[in-house]
Amino acid sequence: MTNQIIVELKGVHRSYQLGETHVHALRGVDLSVMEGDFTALIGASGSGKSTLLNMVGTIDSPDKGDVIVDGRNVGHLSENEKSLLRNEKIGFVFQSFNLVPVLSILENIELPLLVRNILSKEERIARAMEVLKDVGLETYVHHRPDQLSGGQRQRVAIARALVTHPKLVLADEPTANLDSKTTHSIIDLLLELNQKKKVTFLFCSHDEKLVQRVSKVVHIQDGLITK
Amino acid sequence: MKISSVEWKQASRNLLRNKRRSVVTGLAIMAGFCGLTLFGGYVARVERYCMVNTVYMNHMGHIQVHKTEGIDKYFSKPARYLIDPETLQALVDILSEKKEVEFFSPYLVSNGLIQYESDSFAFQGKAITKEADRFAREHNMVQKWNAELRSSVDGAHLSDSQEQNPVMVTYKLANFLKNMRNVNLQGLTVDNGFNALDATITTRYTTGFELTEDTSIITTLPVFQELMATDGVTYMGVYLKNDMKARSFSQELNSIFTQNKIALEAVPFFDERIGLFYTGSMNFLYAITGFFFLLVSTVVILSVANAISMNIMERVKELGTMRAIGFTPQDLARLVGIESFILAIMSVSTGFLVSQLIALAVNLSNIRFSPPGIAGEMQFVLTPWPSLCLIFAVPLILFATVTAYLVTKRKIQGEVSKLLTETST
Repeated sequence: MTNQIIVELKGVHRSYQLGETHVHALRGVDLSVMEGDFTALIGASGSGKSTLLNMVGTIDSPDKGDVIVDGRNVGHLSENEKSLLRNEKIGFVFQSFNLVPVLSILENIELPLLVRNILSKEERIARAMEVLKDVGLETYVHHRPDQLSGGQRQRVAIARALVTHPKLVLADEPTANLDSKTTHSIIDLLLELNQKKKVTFLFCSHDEKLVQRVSKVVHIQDGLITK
Repeated sequence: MKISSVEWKQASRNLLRNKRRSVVTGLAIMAGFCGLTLFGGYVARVERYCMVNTVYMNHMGHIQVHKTEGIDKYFSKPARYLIDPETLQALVDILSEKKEVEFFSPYLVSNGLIQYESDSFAFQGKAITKEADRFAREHNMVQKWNAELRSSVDGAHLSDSQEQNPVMVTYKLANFLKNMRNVNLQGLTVDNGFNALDATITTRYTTGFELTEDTSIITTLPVFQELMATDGVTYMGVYLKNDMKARSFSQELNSIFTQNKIALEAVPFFDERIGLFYTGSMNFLYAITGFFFLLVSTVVILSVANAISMNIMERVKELGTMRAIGFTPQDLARLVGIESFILAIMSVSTGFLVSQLIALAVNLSNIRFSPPGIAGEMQFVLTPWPSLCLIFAVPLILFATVTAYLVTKRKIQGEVSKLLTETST
């Protein structure tokens, strides 16, 4: 593993207006994630961990402070540049999988490759098949998401996150909607990908089973990193 | 911009997500398109009728060449504004060399009285050559668009008549003259003298236009030249192979006249100084068509905007996910634009088939009606030509696609995290 910093947050603040309530989700967060890390963000509901993940994923912007991803200050990027950064460097795994229901498994995984449209159809399919093998779903290519179990759908979501060969994968509660047995297999898969493919994982979770097996845990409480 | 097969698949499958909404939106586009093409088909039919009637049956030609200012001043000073034989010959030389010209012929116009015994009636007459009579009568455009009018002739045509001074009169005028054959034509010579000659009514016909139905007569060129004591003509009627070139060819002729210092002026048949009925009728119908098109376009735009807004509300999380994995708002707007494009293409294609079937049924029903300004009845015919349908289809498809694109782009701007956490309805 290298020691290069892939994510750096400096004094990040973020607040929201929820009705008449002003919510301070992040209150000056500093955080560094190294390449190859397998890091868990732990905190109670409403502690700001999803907001922090959104900042790193460039899908939300800080009110104050800097978010640096792979050496680029996100605050200086346009919307289209951020889109490209997400596509090239970051993979997303969502709690509810967020697969496109009208597309087959293969087409869902191809989707991120369409953004830059630099690969031929054959290359896209080959790349998608490669990651489908990694997650053990190569026989389900023509299935639709609603024909798969929750664990299988999350594997598809992981494959979709990995298909662009990102440096960083962000996962928001990736095992929250899965049963105990499936949770174990997903954790095994994420760890295997982290070790074999050297992909950096940053995820937030309540799941004790997942937290016990990570190399680094970051605790967040009331919008501040506590340890 | 390259659109992948996955995007096409995704767009077409998205249309099936809410079938009822897609069908309702598609029906709105289809009904609007159908109405437009059928109304357009009616307008096209009327336009062809009026064009053929004006150009061929009323012997205007696609282009009329008059003495300069003759259109406005001929009737007050005919001697000055007649085209003399030398100028006419120069014009013949010019027209003979033009490949756009199918036929040309001189015409002489006169007003006067037509008398039988003690009854006399005002006429507006046109003198034509027998070749022009035959040309107009047998032209395939007349056969195609005005066969009814062509067949509404009773008696021998001018070109077939053996009489020395044959005259065609309208049915109404013939009735005024108690359907007698031998009449007397009276009028002024070009020197403002009075003249009269005997003529024989060989034919009864209809002009097709209510306004001219009780005063029109047609005779041969020598008859009016004798009556008016002239060897000149009022205008040269020029018939083109392609009526779409009337404007450009009249401009070309005018520049030739200017260059050669010939005191002539060419005007197309849709110039309101010579084709008032045609331009009046068509401008009115075009205005209605434009208004109808605006109305249909508004319905299409609102239907698509509404359907797309609801689609986006239902798919906001999915669109947020796609933005998270790298798609820009433009990419997603394009995707939804493709959806709308597919829907519009399908609706328009169905609308095309439906309009063709309706037109076929209407045309086979032989519905008779009397349009305002038209003499007598005519068949209600709809002609929604494929080219006409294309003219309406292209902007409608464009409006539907662009509306979807713009609505989507506006709705998915902003922070991606908000889209991901927004509750779908």
